Amino acid sequence: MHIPDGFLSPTVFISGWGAAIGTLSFALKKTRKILKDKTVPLMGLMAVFIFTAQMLDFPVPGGTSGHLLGGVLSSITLGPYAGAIVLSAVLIVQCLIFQDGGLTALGANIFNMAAVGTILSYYLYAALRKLMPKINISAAVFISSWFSIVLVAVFCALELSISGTSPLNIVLPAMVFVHMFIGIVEAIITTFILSFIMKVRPDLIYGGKK
Amino acid sequence: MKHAFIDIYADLNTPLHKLNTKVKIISWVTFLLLIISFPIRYAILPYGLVIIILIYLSKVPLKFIFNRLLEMAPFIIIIGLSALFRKQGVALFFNCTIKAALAVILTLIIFSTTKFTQLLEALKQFKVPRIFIYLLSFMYRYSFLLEDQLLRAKRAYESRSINNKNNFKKVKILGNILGSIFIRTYERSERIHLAMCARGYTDEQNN
Repeated sequence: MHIPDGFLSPTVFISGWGAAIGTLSFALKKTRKILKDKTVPLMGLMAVFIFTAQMLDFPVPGGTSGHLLGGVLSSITLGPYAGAIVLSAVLIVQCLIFQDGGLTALGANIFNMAAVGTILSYYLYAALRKLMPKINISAAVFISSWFSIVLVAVFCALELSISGTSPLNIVLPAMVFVHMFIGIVEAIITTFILSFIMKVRPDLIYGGKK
Repeated sequence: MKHAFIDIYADLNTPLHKLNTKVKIISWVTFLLLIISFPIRYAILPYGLVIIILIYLSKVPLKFIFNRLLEMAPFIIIIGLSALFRKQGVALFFNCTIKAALAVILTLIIFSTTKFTQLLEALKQFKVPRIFIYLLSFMYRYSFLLEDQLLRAKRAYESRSINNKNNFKKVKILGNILGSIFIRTYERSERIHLAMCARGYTDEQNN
């Protein structure tokens, strides 16, 4: 999911950086008001948590290993925009310290995982809750977490294909297939963690008790 | 706490360590762009040479570099394999994977020779928004702590369960452990935050 250097064409990675900077500037503007309260230490905590959690990887069919994203986890507790900022910070550290994901690809990676995997997936969760008010909260969490992973994979595949590195008819099915399994693990763990938090400290959920 | 995955070799005394961090970062970005801009068959010799010199100057152990490459290799190779399906796929495969490998080595050298605090200072001077600096420093300070807690929780769980074959239960317990560690760590950060406020810290610094 973290695209290394050398696989994206200049057009794609420069657009990726543009998209990332645009998303983050927007997110910063949106979170300016809430940064004065207790959200900041919670954001820091989320960053550490997701950073550590992303170090646990599990084998998946297809040969590689997958790891957690934490996009829905951070956006439901912090809100979509603060969550995106946290995810981006985690990606930056992973790129610089662990070389997981290249610098040129960092823009695209941030866009994939912070904009699509966090913000978009949060609105998917919100839409599910709003349009189907009878839906079990955990089900909404599960579905949006699963989609967050699959959507990231789709965008990844699109970027690789537009760069001319991989043919779309190979990379899209391959990535989506593998990430459907990763998505299930992400969905299960996110759902369990969030249901625990909702029970014990519902005030840590964005928007109060949701 | 025996583990340290940041700043492992940041205390050595080499020209690279002593180089100004902002200069290092700008050179790193420039060199990276150069590496990926040219087809690898022309670029490999000169850039490979420079990287070997940098490895030598930095005194970072080869084993460390090799291990990092090994960690990243599966991802690089698997994405590279998809390139084989393109026209002239073999050339493209080597082009991408070797560039990716060089980028990994270069980034590793640059940041192994930089203390994390120096990196944060340089980012601040590059006008990176404060919230990112804050989050990065938080990760630096607390990830070791959290890793300790996770290891302890894992040991506690293992010493209390024998032959737990029920995967659903395992995942549920994992979720509960992670959730409770999350909340405990949050409450610890609340206490720290209050302690800081009681000593004059103001939140205005963080927006």
